[in-house]
Amino acid sequence: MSLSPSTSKMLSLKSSDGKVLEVEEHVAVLCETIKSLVEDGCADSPIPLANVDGATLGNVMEWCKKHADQKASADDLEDWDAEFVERDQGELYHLIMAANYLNIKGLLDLICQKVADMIKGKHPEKIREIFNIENDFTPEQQEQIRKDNSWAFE
Amino acid sequence: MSGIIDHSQRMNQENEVPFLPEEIIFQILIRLPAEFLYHCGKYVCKTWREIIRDPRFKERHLLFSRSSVFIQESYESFDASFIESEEGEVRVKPLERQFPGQMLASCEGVSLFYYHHCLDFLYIVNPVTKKAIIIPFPSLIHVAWIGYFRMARIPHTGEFKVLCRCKDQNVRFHWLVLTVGTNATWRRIDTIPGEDSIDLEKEVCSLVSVEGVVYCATIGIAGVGRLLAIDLRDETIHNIIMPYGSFNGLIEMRKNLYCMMCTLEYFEGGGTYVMKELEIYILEDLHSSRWIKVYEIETNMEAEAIWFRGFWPVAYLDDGHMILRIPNGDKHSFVAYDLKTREITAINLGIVAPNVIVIYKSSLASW
Repeated sequence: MSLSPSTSKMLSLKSSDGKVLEVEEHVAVLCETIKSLVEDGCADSPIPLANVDGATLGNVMEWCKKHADQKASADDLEDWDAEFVERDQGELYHLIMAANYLNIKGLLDLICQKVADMIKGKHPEKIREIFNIENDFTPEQQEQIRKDNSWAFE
Repeated sequence: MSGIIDHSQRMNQENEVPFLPEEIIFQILIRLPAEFLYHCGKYVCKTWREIIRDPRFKERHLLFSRSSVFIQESYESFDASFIESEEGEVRVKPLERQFPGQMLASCEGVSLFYYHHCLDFLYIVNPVTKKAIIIPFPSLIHVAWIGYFRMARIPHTGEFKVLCRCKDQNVRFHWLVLTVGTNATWRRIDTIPGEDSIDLEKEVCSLVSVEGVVYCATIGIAGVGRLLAIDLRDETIHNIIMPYGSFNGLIEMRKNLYCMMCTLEYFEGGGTYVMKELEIYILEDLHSSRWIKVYEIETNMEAEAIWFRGFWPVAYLDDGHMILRIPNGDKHSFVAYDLKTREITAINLGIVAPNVIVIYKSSLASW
């Protein structure tokens, strides 16, 4: 099957909130999940994407479109990606979940790196705040972990 | 227009990040430095601690941790620096964490240290997790031994091995190997013809550890080059034929061995030989000595002193920078060479004669 831009047909993607997005097939197949549907011949009707809302799907397809563009140079993509991830935590969260669900390795790597950069060098307390995580250690367990950090000769 | 309205509503409601599945937390944490994970990440919550403790996580994390160059003036001094690259820039950082003695060799975050206090000690340490184990001294050790240790991590088994070059009373040289663990002992590797007379102290040598194999290139007094592969996976030694040209050093890049060869030309103005062309080859297969040329660099010695004075490759820093060492009388200077842009940047170390150079990576690896 040829996936080159000139022969690319349009695919309809339906988001969790019922929005339908028309996307060129060679762009949409950057999502492995969609690619396997296309390859199995199951992509005729609007493809329902139950775990991705319309706004996020729009963002994801914007990324795919840029990365499907064969004219874009590696440096150009790098700059574009750096700007693409300049978003607030809520949006990053939805993007990361969508990239995981749609199985887009490049996008998932990009956002995981962005989130990793956000938490690098931060104190555990601050990280719990960012990720809305509950501290489930007892004071005794915390003390024990701290003890584990001293030199351990066998 | 409705899309825009939805978008702004979402922002207000969900500015806090809800629950992330474990597989995504894994993908995020794998990109963070070992020090951060060990001293901070594991305190966040039980889920994070369990992920960081998981052997599969530690294994995958090795693929993301980056090399730096540990440089020290001598084995006696404790002042040391790291050459690291961060966001495409090569930087020098002073040694912040305290190291327990002097680092002799390192591989995937596990290092060999030497400590002298009444008695001599050799021990294996992961400086991040502070796990340590004493190993015995090789029985054949002689005085000027200290530079000839290398460490390797055996792929598939994950074992760490230490390789040592030492001399017996008949002035024959041997490679000894030890598997890191409790009750570790040194084993002798069978020599191959002519190999046990190679004296690393008297010859210019380059020792590089790649994926369980230590490669040892020597240029003898007569200018004859020889390349050996000490395969620590099955503990055998092999001869490798070098690519054609004048040998200029070995370097490990992305888990492969590269060999630099150059063409020399007599330079009237300087009354010396200068580097005209540099070629970099990758070793495809150690048993058939198959090399493939991957870079060909036309030198411009009028623009850059490195081609004029020559250099030794030290390390590759994962982001495309090669660290090169340039002889300068008794002193040495270091530069970063960007393989992509071919730009050369001087590195100001502040160390006059660095004698200890170890490629170091921080990791959570254990033995």
